[in-house]
Amino acid sequence: MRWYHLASITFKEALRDRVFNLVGLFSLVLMAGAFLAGNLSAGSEAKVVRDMALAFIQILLLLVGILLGSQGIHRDIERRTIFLVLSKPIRRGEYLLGKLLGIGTVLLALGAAMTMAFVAIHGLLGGFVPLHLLPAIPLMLVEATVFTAMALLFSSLTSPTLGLAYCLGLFLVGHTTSTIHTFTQQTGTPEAVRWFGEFMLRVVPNLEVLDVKNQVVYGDPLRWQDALWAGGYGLAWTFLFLGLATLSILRREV
Amino acid sequence: MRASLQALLIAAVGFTSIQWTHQGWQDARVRLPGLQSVPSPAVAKAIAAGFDGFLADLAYIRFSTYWGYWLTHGRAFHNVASLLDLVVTLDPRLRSAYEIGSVALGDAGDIDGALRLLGRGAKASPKDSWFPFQAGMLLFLYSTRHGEAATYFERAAALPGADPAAAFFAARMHLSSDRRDLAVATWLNIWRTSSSQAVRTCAANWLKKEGQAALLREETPRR
Repeated sequence: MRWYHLASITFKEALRDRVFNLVGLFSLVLMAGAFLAGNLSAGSEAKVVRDMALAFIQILLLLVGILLGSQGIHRDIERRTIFLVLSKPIRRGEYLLGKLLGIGTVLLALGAAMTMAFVAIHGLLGGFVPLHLLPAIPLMLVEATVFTAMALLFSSLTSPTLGLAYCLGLFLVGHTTSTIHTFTQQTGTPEAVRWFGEFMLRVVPNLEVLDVKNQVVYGDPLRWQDALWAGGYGLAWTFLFLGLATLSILRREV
Repeated sequence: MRASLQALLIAAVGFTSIQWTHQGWQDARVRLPGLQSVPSPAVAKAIAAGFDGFLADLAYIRFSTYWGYWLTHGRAFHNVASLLDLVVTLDPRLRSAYEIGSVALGDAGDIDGALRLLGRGAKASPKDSWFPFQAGMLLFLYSTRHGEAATYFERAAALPGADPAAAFFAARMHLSSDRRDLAVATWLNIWRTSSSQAVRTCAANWLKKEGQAALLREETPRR
């Protein structure tokens, strides 16, 4: 249960950082966006508001996960609290697991608060949020958790700024592997390029699996088997990054 | 407190003077009418990173504001087709882009652009009779290619859940493109197959008007 206390401290730290002010920002932006969309989007107002809400929820969750993850270890080293923690009978893996769970709890609370704000604003605009939209949000949480673990790994290897840049780069690559694969498999492409496309598809996390926004916004059914598989896939990457971060921090002289 | 006030004052003067100068420069520029450049749809799709729908909405809002502005300011509709191409590449199911976009293109005189746009919609939703119906309607409204319009209306009429008017429009378009035999055959088919008494009566009236009442006596409706 030592990781539980670390998770609780990480959560409290995020509260002190006023992370939850983002819910207010989200609500304001969504209300302004909904007002503008109502006037400008000629015939697809509801769709625009839903797309906007889901996109903002995903962006904010990812940013919070990456920022908290990339600062996590670094801040503890800077403030020297890590020496205090690691001098106790606590393993370094437990320390990282505690950090991840703390940030994961922050993401969960933030996701729930933003979903409630979305439901309320949608209600004010004159309609209930269609239930088929909601399964997209847990998958966004899983994706944000993958990036938190990735940020913890980079945080143990490099500076927070570089870690942030790497995470954003991997976000772009992770969402374009299928496209890169399709482009590289065209007829007439040199063998080396085709091999590169195949390599990318087999090695880099395919984050499109976790992204069902475009599907749910049109009310397409999401099979629970697919959702579970995607969730498991995301968690597998999370634990892989966490394991690598543990190995990295074990080698550091702290 | 004093330092904060000084900082605020410097920020206010600084921001205003920079922005004022910039806006003056912008206002003095010769503005080219219309939209000068549109990102490549293939590249935009490739780097959308899962935000395809959201980016499509932004591009669609850009289209509706741009079209709305130039509708009343000189009708400079350059690149509207490219912008709509970007929208439907990012989100092939954004129905209002086809609805408003096809009318905008038809109205701007780019009827082939409108047909291409509707063709992409039909490819994304092949069972939706609205796309061929709208293509026929645009050809009827904005061109004299009524024979082609008839083909689109026939295509729409053959799809499940089609508007009963589609077959009638097909017959009318055949008639106005001097293909009377095809018009008669279409009305006869409507009279034979429609389950609606009102539609059948209407088809019968057209056949009588064309002097083909004898056909109605020879045929029995197959409903």
